[in-house]
Amino acid sequence: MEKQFDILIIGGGHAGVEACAIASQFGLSVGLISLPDVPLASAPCNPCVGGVGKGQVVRELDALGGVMGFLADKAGIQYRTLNESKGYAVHSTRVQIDKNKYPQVAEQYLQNLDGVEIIRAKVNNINKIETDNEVSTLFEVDTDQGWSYRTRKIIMTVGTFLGGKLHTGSKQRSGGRMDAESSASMMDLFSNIKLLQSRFKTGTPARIKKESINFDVTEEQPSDDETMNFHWRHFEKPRALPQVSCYLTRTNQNTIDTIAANKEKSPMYNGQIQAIGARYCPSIEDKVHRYPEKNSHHVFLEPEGLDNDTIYPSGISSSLPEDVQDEFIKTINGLENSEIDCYGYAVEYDVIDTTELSYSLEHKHLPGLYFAGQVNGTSGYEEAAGQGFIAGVNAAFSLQGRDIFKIDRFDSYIGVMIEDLITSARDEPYRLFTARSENRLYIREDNVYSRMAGYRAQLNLNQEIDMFHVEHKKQWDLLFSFITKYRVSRDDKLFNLAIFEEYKDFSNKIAVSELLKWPKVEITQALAEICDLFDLKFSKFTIKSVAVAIKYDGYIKRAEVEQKKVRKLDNLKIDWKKLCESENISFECKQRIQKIQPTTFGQLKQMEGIRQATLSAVAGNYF
Amino acid sequence: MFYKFDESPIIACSSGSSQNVAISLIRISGLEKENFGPIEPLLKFQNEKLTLDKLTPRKSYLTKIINKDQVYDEALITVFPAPHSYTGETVIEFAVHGNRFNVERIIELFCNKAKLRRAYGGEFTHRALKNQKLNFSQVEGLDLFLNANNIFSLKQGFSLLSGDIQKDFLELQNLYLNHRSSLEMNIDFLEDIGEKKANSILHDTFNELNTLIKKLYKRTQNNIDISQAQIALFGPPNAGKSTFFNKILGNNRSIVSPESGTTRDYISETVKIGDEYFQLVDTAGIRNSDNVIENQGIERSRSFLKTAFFKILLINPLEDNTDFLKEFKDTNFDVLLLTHSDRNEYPEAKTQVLATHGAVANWSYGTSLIQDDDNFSEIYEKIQSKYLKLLESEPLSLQRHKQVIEEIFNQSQHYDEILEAENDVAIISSELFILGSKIEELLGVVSSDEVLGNIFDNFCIGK
Repeated sequence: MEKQFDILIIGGGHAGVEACAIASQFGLSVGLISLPDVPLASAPCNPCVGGVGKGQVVRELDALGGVMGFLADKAGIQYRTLNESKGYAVHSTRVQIDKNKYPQVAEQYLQNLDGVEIIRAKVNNINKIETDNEVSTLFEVDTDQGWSYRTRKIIMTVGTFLGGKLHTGSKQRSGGRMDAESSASMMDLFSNIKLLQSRFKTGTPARIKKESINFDVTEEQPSDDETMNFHWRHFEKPRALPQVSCYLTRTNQNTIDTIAANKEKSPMYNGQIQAIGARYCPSIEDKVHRYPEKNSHHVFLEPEGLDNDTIYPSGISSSLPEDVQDEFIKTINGLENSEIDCYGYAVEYDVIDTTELSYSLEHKHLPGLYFAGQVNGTSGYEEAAGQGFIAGVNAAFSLQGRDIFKIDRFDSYIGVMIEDLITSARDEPYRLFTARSENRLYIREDNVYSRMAGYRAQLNLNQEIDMFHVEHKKQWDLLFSFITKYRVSRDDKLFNLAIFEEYKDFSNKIAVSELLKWPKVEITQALAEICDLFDLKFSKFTIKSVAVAIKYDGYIKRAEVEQKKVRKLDNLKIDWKKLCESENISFECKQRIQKIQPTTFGQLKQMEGIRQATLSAVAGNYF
Repeated sequence: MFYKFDESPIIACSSGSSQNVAISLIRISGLEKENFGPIEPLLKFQNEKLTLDKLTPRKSYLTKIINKDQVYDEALITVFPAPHSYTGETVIEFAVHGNRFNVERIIELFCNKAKLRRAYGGEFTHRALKNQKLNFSQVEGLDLFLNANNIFSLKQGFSLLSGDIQKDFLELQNLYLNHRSSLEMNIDFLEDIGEKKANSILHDTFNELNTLIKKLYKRTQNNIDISQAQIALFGPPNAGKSTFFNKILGNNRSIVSPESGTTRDYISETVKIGDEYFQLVDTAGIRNSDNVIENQGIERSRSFLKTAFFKILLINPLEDNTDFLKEFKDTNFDVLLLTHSDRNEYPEAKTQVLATHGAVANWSYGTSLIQDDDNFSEIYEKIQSKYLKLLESEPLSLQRHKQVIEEIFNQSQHYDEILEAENDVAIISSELFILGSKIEELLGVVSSDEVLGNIFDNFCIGK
């Protein structure tokens, strides 16, 4: 039997779910093939969504019409605003999720979408079918359930399942995670897809039974009521689920000694695992061996759900043998009597060379085939979801004969990530950091709707969220123009507000927006009070968004002057062919240039392994 | 000029060609082996089996340069195949006889027969830069080196050329990278290392960076053009400046007359003191004048007060200098020279001047200018020791460096204030980026990958 789809997505993780949800909005038939024993959009590692840089991505997705924010709200059991003391631009939302609930909500969500079919099967084979029509590609996908499917586009969101191999101590077996077997090797599916030569590695800690932990000796971190829900429909709504706390404890010298004494048993250090792990996400073995002088590492105890009696101890992922894991965990304050529910393990897997992808995440040498998520060498659910969205929209756009949907790196973290991915081959798993953006003052959570409105409009879908965008902009403009145009003198009732009691400079009339920049007021609170005073009804979100925009206005303008210089250089057109012909650029550099084919100086700069000397020469030469 | 540069093969005489000399060097760059063809008939090697493409690289051969039957010259030819040459392209050098008509005729011959283009000024170096044989600082250094007219410039030019100053700048970039990493850590990894530690690292790394910036800034803070170090003579009209000037030069260049205000504008000459060359400047006497032209000269005199490396104040104690000394009470002269010491009234007048205006300078010098040259030696010693001290402070003399370092310094001061006053790290980092882009301007690009790499290499972070 054979069924035909417009788009077939292989892999039901965060990338696959996001790709499926958005692609189906374009009136196309979309299939999602997921392994039978793995829940959709599951959280096999940290039970949380968001984080520094990542919270921005979740909100960007939400403003674009993605699903991650919605799902996280529905399953959210603890909200936090990270970097709260560090300024609005770097505020990031993180939500602990109920890891049983989240996949349920995801599955329900997809099942309610028109044109979506969820297929539980393992893919055995993918073939490209020769058709009479040369323009359109057609793939045939065979599954172990005896069914095969024809499709015009394939989005590969296979996560860690490509050639996945699990390690706990000396035990190893094939699989993408606990309780799930791995997919066939990519080589078997596509002989001409280039994999990175090195495999990547990621790991996860043991799960500990909640009732075996003594929380009294740890530091409690309750849920923050002030943190806004992710999804735009939920802004004025209470949390969907009851809220719980996380707890902070630390490793100590005994922990370190135990791990150090068992170095030869660690697959990471005895040569059993050759793959590369992320330096920003080290296993506890890594921390001990690489930074022996430091003995106290944070361990965050995160509940995995409301009905779930396990705790995720963030900070001690490990692939040591089970008895060693038992031993070192018991050295930690509060975990002395802990019972392990499931031991930590490391997984190594294949990743593709993302420099062979275009902005649409379509493979340059295999049209019709898109890649998104961990298979592209990224880590994190949010990064995966962001790519899934981009691949989903672009697969649909391509079928509609439209140009590539591309988000600029100066407008969003999703844009930063996509450009980083396709311009440089990874040498370790890629995670978003705010440091990766050149425009951090502007790409914030509070202005996400202003930033994404234009991109959302390009989708041309005219749905409820598009009405929301229009309304949000109207409200925003209204409040903004009021406070920038309304000028007050000392007899204005505004000065009756207690927050302005100490304000003394009445020499001239002053615009409210200028008044708000007075360093003695907290700008968001001040604007909220002013709105109250004048009986202006604006949402909390709009007030915050306008206030923060006013606050950063001057700084952004100042930064722009410098950025313009940089961007001018970055936008400089270069001729990569000419660079490749130059006898004086090293062979290695030339190989990289040949592969990436950068067209601007900015792209050349983003590339991995391009020497300073090459950059200086190119910049100097083309100025 | 840059816009004219293309990639065609170029030729030029690379040694001084304005006069007839024994040997001149003609250099061809960008003519690659497969295009040697048109040149072969112009050469006749002593070893008749040889042709241009068979020469061993970097080895000299004797050849005749011929045009049909006519021998133009005998030359030594050396081939430097790409990329191992000055420009990074294949370079062919001819050492020919240095008669300038000969050189011209040979260049003309190559241009016509082998379709070579005459190089524009700086074009060989531009190609070296383009092909990464030299970095930008090295090119600046080369320029300084080739145009140096004193030992200092020569040294600094060579130091740039060999990359020494670049090393100092790289250290600057390094410290910037460290500080930026610590700031990024404050944002992206605050949970991992804790707020207190993150903050202390932030301030420590900035202090290191700021210390180096201040040090570099200090090295730019001499308005003195060290490649043209000036010794300037100041004083009221008729104090004896020109007499002194001529005495030092050992000839009579200035017109000296007893009428006050003769030197209407400055006069300068190069003098050698010890191993170094200086510009000795005789400025116009400073006084209140109604004469427009004289006033222009007086203005220029005042400007030398700012730029001169060594300032000598000359006073004739026999005259009334009250107004003059009042005006320059706060100026720091290196030497006060009381002239006319051969006059009988001198001792008394000297005592009077020093008593009245002792605050002007803490040093006095009385000399008989006419009779005894040896008395200059004390002044010479002072000049030399001051110059030596200046060199020890390793001044940066290139205008571009001065300017960018000054911008870096100013932004760093501004940033320091923000770092103290502001809690918002995004604002802090935005200001730091501005500082960073100025540092990049000085020497190159720091990418976010480098920043993150630096964090991971030095700190234990992550879950």
